[in-house]
Amino acid sequence: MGTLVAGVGYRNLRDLSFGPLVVDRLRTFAWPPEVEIEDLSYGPISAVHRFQECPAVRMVLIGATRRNRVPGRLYRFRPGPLPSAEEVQQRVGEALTGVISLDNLWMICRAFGVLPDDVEILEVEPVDEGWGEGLTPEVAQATERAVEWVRRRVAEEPGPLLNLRRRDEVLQVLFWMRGEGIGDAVRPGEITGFLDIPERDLRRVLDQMVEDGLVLDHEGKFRLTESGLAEGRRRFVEEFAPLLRQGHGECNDPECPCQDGDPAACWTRNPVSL
Amino acid sequence: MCFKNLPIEFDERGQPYLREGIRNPYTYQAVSLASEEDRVKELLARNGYIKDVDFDPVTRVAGALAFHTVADLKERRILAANSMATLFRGYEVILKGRDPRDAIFISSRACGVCGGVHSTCSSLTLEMAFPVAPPPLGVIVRNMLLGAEFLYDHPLHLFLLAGPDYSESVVRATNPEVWERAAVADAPHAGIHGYRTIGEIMVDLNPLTGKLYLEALHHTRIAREAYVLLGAKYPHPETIVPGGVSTTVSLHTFTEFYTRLLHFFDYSKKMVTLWDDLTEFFYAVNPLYRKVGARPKNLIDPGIWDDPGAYDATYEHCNEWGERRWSTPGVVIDGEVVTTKLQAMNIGIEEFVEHSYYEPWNGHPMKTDPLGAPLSPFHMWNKDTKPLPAGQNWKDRYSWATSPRWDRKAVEAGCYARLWITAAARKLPDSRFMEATGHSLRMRLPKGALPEMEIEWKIPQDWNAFERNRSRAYAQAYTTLVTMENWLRGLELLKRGQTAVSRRYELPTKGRQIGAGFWGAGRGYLTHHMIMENGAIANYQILTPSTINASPRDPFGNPGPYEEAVLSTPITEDFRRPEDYKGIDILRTIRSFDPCMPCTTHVHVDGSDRVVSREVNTCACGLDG
Repeated sequence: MGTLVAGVGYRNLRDLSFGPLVVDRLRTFAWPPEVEIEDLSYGPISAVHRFQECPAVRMVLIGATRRNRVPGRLYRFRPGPLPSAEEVQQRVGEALTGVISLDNLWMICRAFGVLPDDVEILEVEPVDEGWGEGLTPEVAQATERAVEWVRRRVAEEPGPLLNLRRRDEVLQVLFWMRGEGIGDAVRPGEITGFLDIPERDLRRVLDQMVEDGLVLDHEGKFRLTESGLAEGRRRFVEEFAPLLRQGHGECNDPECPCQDGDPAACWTRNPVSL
Repeated sequence: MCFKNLPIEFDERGQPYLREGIRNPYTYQAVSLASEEDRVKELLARNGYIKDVDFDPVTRVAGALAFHTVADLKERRILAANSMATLFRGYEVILKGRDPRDAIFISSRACGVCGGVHSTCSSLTLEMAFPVAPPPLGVIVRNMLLGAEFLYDHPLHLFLLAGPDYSESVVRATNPEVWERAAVADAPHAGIHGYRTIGEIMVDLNPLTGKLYLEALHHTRIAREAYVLLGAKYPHPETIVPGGVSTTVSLHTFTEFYTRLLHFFDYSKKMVTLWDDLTEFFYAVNPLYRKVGARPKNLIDPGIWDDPGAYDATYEHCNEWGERRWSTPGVVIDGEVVTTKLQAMNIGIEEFVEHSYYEPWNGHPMKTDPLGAPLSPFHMWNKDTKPLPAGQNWKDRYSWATSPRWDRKAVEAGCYARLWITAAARKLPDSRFMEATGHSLRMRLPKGALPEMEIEWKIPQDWNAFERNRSRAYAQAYTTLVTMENWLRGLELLKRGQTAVSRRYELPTKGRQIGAGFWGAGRGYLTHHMIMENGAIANYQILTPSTINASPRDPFGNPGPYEEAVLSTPITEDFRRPEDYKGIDILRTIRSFDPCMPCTTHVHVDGSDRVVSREVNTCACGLDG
């Protein structure tokens, strides 16, 4: 799992349902494949079990917690250090017996080593925590702000896995375009024709690749460096090797040595070398 | 004749009837607690070594429990004890007027730990009212689900909640002399659990870091996996329905379930031997530990795990199908089983509210049960939940828990009641793995990585906090074997092509129907009682193990089980100054019951509908009256 965006809270307890309700809204949007949207209101210990099985690289946790701040206002922070072991154990006791809270969730997950380093908490100060459906007007207004913040944060600032995948794809497509004779140096607009990536995001990936020495930026055209070429070749081979080989018992490559009557020399029997 | 206090007798056919010639058979004179309260106040004022010791909240228990004690630190005894459920549970109010099928999903929210048992108990209630009985595989799957649920509960209690009370970090702080002996005391069952000394066991019971703590956490996951393989989701399963289960099972799911179940063969051996060694060590170090958490041997349990060949969901046959359960229902008074009949258990229960934040209710709409047996106006079918928030007063009202009593005695709920009644009554179905001897329960745990092993839970001579925990470990083995028996029977049904797991039912939309669910949680006793009118719930009452155990005084002046057990607890803790006193004996006593306050109480009303979020459980369904 790459990035997990999760709501935590109690449905039917007015503003405490903020996290689950934001998640309901977030689920109506399309997300990159490595982003998962989940309601984590099923208990911190079960969440520990889940992350032991399937760790997340990055988390955004959303909920409502009374901390006597401005009611209805959104607050964003990164969780601090763990409290004392005694307090963590108390929270484990609560969690095991069914108490759901955002603080319990991150503290228990961190105590058992399943919380990633990259965690952000988006929290609203509740107005009403009483029994009932629906948010108070103040917190309801915060819902859309929270949704927009998450969309910007997660979709426009890709998580580490998304960045890696996009970098791989750009390397492959630059290598392929060069091989096909489309061009050694290409503009981002030419690349987006082959990749499902917004041009703005692509620029960010290319800028990072320039910084890492994989491509050169020459007046807005990007060209693979020597190391970029090697990396692009390696990724392209790994990705497409199964498709590059021939079907069983056939070889339709006129250049292949097997066409000269030596089946053992057929490229399909040997590692692909490009 | 099982009743000593209620005016109920039995005819020659065993049918209960009300003793003749008594004008108001259920009336009583409430005892005043004022003089006792005054005596304690006077002692507190006169003696510097007599202290109020409050635990608010009691930690490492589910939900909101506070406990008030007055301790004589010189004589090392407890003079007064009051158990306070500090939140209100409003399910009875929420459910009134609803479609009865909602009860399965709403009552499940009574607990984030054991939501499945409430769903199931609610389904049984509806099955009786509709009526509809599941096909054999539906009953078997239900039994297996509940087995998996308890396999989660027992290690959770023993290693994550109660276990830390016996850990090195706690024992070293409260009784250093015990720790010194533990460090060098050989563990008799080292060959099975792998710990050379008691001290090593205590180190691994340390919270958060101890290996036993972490191992239990891991096993709770395996048990949950087993549950969701059959039940699809937890907490709050949505596959529990009247007439069976709505999940599809196959040989594949059965095989997958088994791969989880077999972990518990060896784990049960380890749990049982660990708690045997710990318990015997404490007794050897100081015989006073036999008195920690001691109370009369009065227990109650409705039984659990039905026989598909007997269960027909009717109240008419509840005595027959009840006694065919894998866990025999019944009541133990002064160590003796006085009944194994569900009907007698049911008609003997009353709930009193003299010391609870509820208004007394009037009326006696059901004077008899559906079989014509006498029913108290204080029985759940007659109860009306009317919250009455008030200030705390030890001689008046001080808890949101009611005072349930059987035959007007304080009885205790726990999974050990399951072991006790089953062992003593000798009505256990034929089993490859278990035998009830009348004084014990013999269990043969199959070979895993460890060899096959026979264990024997003996009805204890002393009934105290240590025996509750030891019994809980044996309950893990018992649950494993009952689940295995059901797995084998389910497999036979699948092989024979009897794959139906549910039966269709018609929801009655006219007239009056009555239902009751007699079941159990990991912590023991659970019943739901319902009256339906014209297709809607007219009354729904949930009675949980922790309501029974956490109950305040009854109108006869008798303390509830927690209170009674704390009152008889000696202070064994080592402390020099009163301010160093931590109350470990009291905490061990209370936690040995495995309190689950979300089941008992929920949302603090306090003149409004506000709640404290950390104090409520999954979904926190609560409502002011």
